[in-house]
Amino acid sequence: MDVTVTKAETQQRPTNSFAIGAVFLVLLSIAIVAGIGFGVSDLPINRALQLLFSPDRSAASALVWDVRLPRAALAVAVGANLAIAGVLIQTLTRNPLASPQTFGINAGASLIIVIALIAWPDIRGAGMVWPAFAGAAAIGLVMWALSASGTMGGMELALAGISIQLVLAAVVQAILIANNAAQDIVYWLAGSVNGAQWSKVWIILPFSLAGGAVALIGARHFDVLALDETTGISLGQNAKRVGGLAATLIVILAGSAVAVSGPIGFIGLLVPHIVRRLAGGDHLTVLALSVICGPLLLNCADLLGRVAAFPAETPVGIVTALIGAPAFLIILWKQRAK
Amino acid sequence: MSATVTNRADLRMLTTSLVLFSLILAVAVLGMTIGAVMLSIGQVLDGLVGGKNAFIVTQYRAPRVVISILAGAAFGVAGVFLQGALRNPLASPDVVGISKSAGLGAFLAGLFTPPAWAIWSIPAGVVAGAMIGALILLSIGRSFGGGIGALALVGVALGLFAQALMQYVMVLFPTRADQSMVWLAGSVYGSTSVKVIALTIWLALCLPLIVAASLKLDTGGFGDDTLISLGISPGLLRGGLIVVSVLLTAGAVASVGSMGFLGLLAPHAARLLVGARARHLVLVSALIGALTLSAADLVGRIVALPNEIPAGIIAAVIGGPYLIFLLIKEAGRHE
Repeated sequence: MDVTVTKAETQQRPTNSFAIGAVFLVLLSIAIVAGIGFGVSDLPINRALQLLFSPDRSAASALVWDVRLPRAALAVAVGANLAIAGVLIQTLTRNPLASPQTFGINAGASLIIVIALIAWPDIRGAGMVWPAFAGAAAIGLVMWALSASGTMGGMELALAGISIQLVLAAVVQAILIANNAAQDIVYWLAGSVNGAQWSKVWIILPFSLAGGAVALIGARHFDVLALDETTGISLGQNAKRVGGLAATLIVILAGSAVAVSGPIGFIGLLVPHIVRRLAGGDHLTVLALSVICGPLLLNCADLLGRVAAFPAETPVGIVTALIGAPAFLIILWKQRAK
Repeated sequence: MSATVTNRADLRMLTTSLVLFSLILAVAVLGMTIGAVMLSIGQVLDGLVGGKNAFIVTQYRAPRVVISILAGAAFGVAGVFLQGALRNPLASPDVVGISKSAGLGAFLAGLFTPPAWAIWSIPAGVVAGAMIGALILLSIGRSFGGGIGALALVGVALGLFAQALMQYVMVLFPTRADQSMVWLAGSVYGSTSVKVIALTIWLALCLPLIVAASLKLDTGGFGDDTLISLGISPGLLRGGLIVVSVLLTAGAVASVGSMGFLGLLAPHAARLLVGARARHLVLVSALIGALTLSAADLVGRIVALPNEIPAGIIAAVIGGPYLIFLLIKEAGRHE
């Protein structure tokens, strides 16, 4: 990659990326309002909006404020977390097929959470975050070891990651069956923001804010990480330290997302591609836009899940898998064409 | 010289087969004795000829043991043919999503046809699903240039898509989804003698094709140019091998659901034991497939008593790490 080209590209970008960001924000607002207005209980959208700005003691107000709003907020936080984690993992591994899901990070977090939930049922809630970090970090280390050996190409690594995901999913299933596990664990595993409460939002929010802020502040350093290693070193960059920072952020962001909403795939894979395609190269732009694009995508998928089998709800994890698998093929195909 | 080498290989295959066969027999005997009611071997034999425990033995345990042996063998052979046809060590019906598409076909057929039609509509759905899955895989896979990793990735994505689609249909029709859940994970639970007979007939019908495919399998290893110069149509040869593989997969999936990684594992283990020649490979793969599935079922029944873990989950836990190991090995070789 040529540094001068990157610079030339960034110079003409600002207005462009601000415009894209503005469009994303408008779409996200529409998606959130639609999500607040639509559901099994019939509530006219203008009434919902009215309640949003002036809550009262009615049941409808409680529906807006305690059911639909926390759900939208959770989707925003989870979507942003997965999107940033996706950008960082793709940068760190220089692999466009990488994401918290395709590299098994989400599955690792899920496995340890399930084990912890069965061993100590009272950790439900905030306590689920720590096992999630442990699981995400463990699989992160495995994938790092596989890629550090240097023999595997991008596709082989992605295949290994997906295999790890399949195996861990099988182990989780076996554990659930062996322990007659509760139905809510099974539902959580499908990946969903249904039944969100403010308490869940408060669990993930500190990690989202801190992780997002650090990622944005460190954006310039990640730019160098994306270059090949020798260029990074010659630019005086401590690639190892930046890499370690990125890895830590991935674990925290993906882990906390899994802890509150289960493993949701493909947001982390897709968002970086969409954003890079629209606004190109440097990490500050890509990360800033991902923070909006991830929530947009997840809110839309959640909305789709509510509409697709109405009045039944399709967990958002199933919706993202249905959209994501073809999208994954397209990314793979583009990859091939290069 | 070459004759003695061949003889030695034949001998090796013979002893390997005998060892595998006795292992399958041992697992089968254990499978007949172990369960909610523990039986001695004598009681099992007594039950088989109509004694006191005849109901448990003949209605419940024997069909289960037999079907796991038959379906395991079918998965194993299907893997050999697919890997041979695509010249890709990672290709097996379960890894590349054909098993999952077959399961999706069965699921949809069962859902959208009246229950009375199920006896033929579900098998038809399985075959259709497997065929469509294979066609999609091949047509998409071709545009990726047919690299070893790329084809497998396309297949994995295809499998994930089929699975998500099934989950979605389950949300749409929750009342009919319960039974499918267990079956989709791959289980021999609730096998009946009717199922055993159906699978036996299916495999018997496939047998001439299996023999024909086995005879052609070795030439599948040649490049397309070599095949053409030998007067063999590469398209016909590889297409034929794929069709036989898909038919075997469909039969196995129809009776036990989509078992992960069995078709991948068996051919590799067989190659390690007896080498790559088709006349050794096919039989030994069948035996290893049978052994793996029946053992997975046995383990699944014992390991979490009184609960039962579907054999497909056990198979995935054994087979998945093997796939990763293979990836590392394959990648190392290309370097």
